[in-house]
Amino acid sequence: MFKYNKFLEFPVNIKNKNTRLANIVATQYGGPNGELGASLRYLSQRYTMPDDVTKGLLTDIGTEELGHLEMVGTLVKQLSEGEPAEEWVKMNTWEYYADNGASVFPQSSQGSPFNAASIAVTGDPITNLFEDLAAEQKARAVYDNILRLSDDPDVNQVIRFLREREIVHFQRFGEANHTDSNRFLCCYDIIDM
Amino acid sequence: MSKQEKLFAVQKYNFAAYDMLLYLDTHPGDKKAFCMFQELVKKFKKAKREYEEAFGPLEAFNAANFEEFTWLDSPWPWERGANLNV
Repeated sequence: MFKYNKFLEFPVNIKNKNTRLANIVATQYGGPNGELGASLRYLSQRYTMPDDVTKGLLTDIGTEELGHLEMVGTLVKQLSEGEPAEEWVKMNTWEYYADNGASVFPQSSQGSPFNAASIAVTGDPITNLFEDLAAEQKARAVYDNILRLSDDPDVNQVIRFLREREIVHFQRFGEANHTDSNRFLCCYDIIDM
Repeated sequence: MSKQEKLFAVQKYNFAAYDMLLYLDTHPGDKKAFCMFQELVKKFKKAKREYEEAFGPLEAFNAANFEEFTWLDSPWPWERGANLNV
């Protein structure tokens, strides 16, 4: 089971409202490379992993991703909280406002609601681990893009923290894949075919 | 120390211990790393206890340690003013 800790993994304190930036950052809440997908990917894959290293690693990284989901949600909230309709019109973000108002909704920057089609859970441990390695790099690339688009230092220091975590997770997944090269050898046998 | 500074101490040790946890997941036999993990968890628990004694529960069950039910007290983590400006 999960227990809630009443604090963020890393502090978020946004001084300037910006509904346009909120829309961009929200893609890491519910977009194709976002934290909701990341946590679901790992927490779903773990049920069929064959060894204790990957069961534990996917549980622990999947749990940390839920903390990142909360951080990104906090960014979106603080960037858009209480902004009146005129502000959403001025910032050209009125499509979001029409459906969601000044709230936090899991969608991509282009407006597609969260879709589990952006994650893969295959039951094959090698395939899962390579999916995870790719996912960490995709998320890192999106954070890089957000850093290129945003000039808000309060937002960017949080994005930099999240970006670094993608790199650490990539490292750990790589180790899980290589720690014992024979560990998943059984998976290459196609005895059931 | 302000409330936010005390919370930041909790966040720091939580992060360091969690990062070490992920390392141990792929290096379960690394004794030096395990010692560091033990130290960091000890510091995290101490910082969390100190914060809770001064400002209230950081997890729901710890609300039972107080005379009154203060779990609901604001600010919640996503609210302005909950976190230290770093």
